[in-house]
Amino acid sequence: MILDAQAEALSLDILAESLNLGLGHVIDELAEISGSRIELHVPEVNMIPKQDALAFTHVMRDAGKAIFVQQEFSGDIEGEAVLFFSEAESLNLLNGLIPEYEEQRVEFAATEEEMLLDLTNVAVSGVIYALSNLLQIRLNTELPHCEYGYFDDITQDTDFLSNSDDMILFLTISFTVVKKNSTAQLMFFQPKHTLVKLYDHIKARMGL
Amino acid sequence: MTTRIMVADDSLFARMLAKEAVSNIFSDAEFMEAASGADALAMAEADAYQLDWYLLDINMGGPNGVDTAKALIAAGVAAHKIALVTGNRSKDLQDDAEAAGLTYILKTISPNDVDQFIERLRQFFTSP
Repeated sequence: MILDAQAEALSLDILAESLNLGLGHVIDELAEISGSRIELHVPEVNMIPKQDALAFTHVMRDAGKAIFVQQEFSGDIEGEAVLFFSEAESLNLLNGLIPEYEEQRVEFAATEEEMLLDLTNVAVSGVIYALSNLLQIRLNTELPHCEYGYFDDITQDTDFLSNSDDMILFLTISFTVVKKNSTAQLMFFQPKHTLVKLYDHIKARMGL
Repeated sequence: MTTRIMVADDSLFARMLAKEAVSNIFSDAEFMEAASGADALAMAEADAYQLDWYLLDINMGGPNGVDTAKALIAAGVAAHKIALVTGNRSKDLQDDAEAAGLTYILKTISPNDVDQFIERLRQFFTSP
């Protein structure tokens, strides 16, 4: 199937807006949890190979341990969402999310893992909710899973980068916990073969 | 006489939905579309700030909707003619809008809520 350029541009636009609307719900929840203002940044849509999208992680190879949370979604379309941090950045974020009267985190532990899983679950669910409502499609999210360790060990021990030639990044968005000046980045990937299905749903919804 | 409305949003889809909703209220609406705060300010200035209403997304390319609204007000546009239209439910943003005398209108996610979105717009257009 050859996609019309205008239909493709509109499809990507709808995806970005879905992310924006979905995260709007999450931002509100995060603001309540942290007692801090949360700023949502403008979503980006980049149709590039997953391997290229992850190129920025090369800095983590020198920065020590890394943490990523992965969550798959399936249904009328399928894909995965990844929340990715260096250890220092994740602790910075987590310390930004917990109330000031609680003790600040100094190392990554089970409680931090649970918070990151919750954070990802809420964020991804918000986006999936917006996407499924806007396009009137059926989507389900799996439970997220968290990996922690040295970057090279993580990528060797998991299927995080498997099928990387087939995956293309379609959406990224970041938000800042203002009080802690910490920023998280959420990325959505989708297999190339299901991206066409997504375009079909968008075109049907928009009457293109 | 037509009703002239600025719709500024980085999302083409969001602009389409906004125009469709507004057209339910003003059948004679004439739209000026901008994809960023900078575009909105340039177009408004070129039009000598004569538009009847301004609907500004908050989370768009710089300046964002709040700063765009402040720039419009500084240029002489009445605050009651400007609404921030967003999917972000942040209380902080709502407080910012209220402090600046701006209306805050939540976008709709579900097609089932379109009527409520139209009603929120209607209240903005008809409030004194």
